[in-house]
Amino acid sequence: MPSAPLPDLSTAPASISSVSPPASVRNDGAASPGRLPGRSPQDLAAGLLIAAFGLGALWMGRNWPTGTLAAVESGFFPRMLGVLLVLFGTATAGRGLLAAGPGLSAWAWRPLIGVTVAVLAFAATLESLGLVAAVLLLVGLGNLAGQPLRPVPLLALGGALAFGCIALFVWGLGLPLQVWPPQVLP
Amino acid sequence: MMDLFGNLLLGLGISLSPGNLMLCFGGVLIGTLIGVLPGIGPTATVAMLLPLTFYLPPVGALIMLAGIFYGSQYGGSATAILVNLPGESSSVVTCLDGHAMARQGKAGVALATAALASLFAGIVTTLVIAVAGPPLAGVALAFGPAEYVSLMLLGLIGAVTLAHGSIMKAIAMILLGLLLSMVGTDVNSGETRFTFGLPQLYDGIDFVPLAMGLFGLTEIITSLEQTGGAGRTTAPISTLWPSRQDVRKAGPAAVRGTVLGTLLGILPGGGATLASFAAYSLEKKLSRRPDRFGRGAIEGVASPEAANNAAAQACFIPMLSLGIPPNAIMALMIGAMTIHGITPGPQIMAKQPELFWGMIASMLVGNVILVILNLPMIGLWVRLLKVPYGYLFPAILVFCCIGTYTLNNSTFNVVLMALFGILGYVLRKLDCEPAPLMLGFVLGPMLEENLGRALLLSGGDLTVFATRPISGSLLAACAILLALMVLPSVRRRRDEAFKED
Repeated sequence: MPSAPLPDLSTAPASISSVSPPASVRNDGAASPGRLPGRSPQDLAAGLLIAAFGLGALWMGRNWPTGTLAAVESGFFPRMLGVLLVLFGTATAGRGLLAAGPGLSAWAWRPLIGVTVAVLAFAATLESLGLVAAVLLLVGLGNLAGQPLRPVPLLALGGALAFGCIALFVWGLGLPLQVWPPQVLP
Repeated sequence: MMDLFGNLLLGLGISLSPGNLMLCFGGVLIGTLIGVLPGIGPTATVAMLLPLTFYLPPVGALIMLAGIFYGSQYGGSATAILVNLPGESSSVVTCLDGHAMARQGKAGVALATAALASLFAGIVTTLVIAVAGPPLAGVALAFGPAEYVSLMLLGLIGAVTLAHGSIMKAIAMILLGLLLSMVGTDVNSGETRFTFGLPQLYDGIDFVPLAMGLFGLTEIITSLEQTGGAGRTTAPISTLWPSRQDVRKAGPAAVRGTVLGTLLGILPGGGATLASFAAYSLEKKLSRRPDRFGRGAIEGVASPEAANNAAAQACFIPMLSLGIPPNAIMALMIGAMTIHGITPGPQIMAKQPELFWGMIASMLVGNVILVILNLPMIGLWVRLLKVPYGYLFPAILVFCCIGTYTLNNSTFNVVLMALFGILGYVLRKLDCEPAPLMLGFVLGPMLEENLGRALLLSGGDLTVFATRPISGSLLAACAILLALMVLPSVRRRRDEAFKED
């Protein structure tokens, strides 16, 4: 089932500054800025990305043995995929140059960076500082990805989530998770 | 026939055992809870909740996952009706008349209709699965590697034709998924591929961080982008029960939707979206007053909802009997089976009947629980929709992180999930769908193995795929599908079907 981004059908107001207008609104009409007439930067970028993946695969697998058709070896399938990716990427990019289509919509840097950094921080601290610190860090940093909560509700949310995690994963499922930093409880 | 009832009884015995009943109930409840959240579709819900099932026995895990799946499907319809926000493209049509009904103060009726139509479709489809599964698995036992390759190609191409947007990009996404599945140690030669020298990648990319990143994290980022953490406005609820006139109109519509959905759902590519769109246009054509549609016609809710649920459940047929996932959710199910050490395919039915029939019977149970659970709890879901996203998404984030970590107690997987979150967001921005990628990723190892084996058996002769009768006809079906897609008239109609306005 496709789960592509759907146009926002609701009447809910978009509120924070980093929110970009929906792609469909931005890309209507040939006169919109950031798009050359008769071309589709979105297809061009997609095609280049796909081709880059293909080239990367071909380069990494350049020395792998492909074997023969009767006895294929480990390099055969990756090379086939690499070639096909380059072909489809080039075709998509070519269509992006020639045929009209949607432009690139603005990026929501704040949610993207906020969520990514929060998850990476969780990964970095979970085993060294323990579950409680990692969850608090994850909630605190993740909070910056959206419309930040005020300190008191934020602390309450972080505390509730940390407690919930301990209850569910440590007490409930009995997982061997480090709960506190090793210095606090030996 | 007696065999069928015997098997269903065996299954019911398993799925009605107190433990499994609890799991089914829990799955439906949590699935609805997460599925109701705006913008989170069934695929993302199942991906996020996968870790809950790691520590369960295999039968229980699959029963719970199936429960999560129905729950999220229904939760998505509730959001579509109450907030006019489809969680997945298959519930886009429900928005049209469902939300129109809600604005007229008949949100309760619309929700009840959706639930009852889904229940009817679910029960009928479960019986169809029970009848059609075993013969299909029997056919599949005669399959050689060449047939499997052709079948997988058909499944992948079917997924492309039913995806919306550019076909070229969708094929490229399948290829990318196949490429990602190559990472790790090659089973035949023992050589490592695409590991970047990282020992954590020697066993390949785990399925959970990929699914959680591509669907879970990307969903969070996109929702934040669209709403910024504000709540949504929901329609009020007054009456719940449909009037007699409503039932007279909705009943036949639900039957028609069920038939259409089951037929379209068995097709490779899993046509829940196609089924709901087709059911809606069928109702509009049959109606004596097509102008009512879009303004709160109850048939416009009953039929697509029935079709949607029937198709979504009919997808289990190819998954359970052939081991080939027809769409991303079934790919997640196969991933879950693999985690539990079950190899999906025709042999499941013979070797693990309690698993197969237990799961099928639990579909019946799950659909009933769904209705019993949801009719009294509609008010609660409405209130949940009012919780600001700023409180919800950190909770979802925590759940994704811990879930991914606990798969192998590896923080590397959490890092991978973050990277796939970025990849998923980039792909969305470029209008490339993650669902074909997921399918490719799950089918990759099977495809490579069978391709190599088929070529080995034929001595490198590529014509073997076309000359073996079953394989040849499957390939012909692929060719016809692709040819149809290129025809301008079909293309135009497909574009219309997926036009979301």
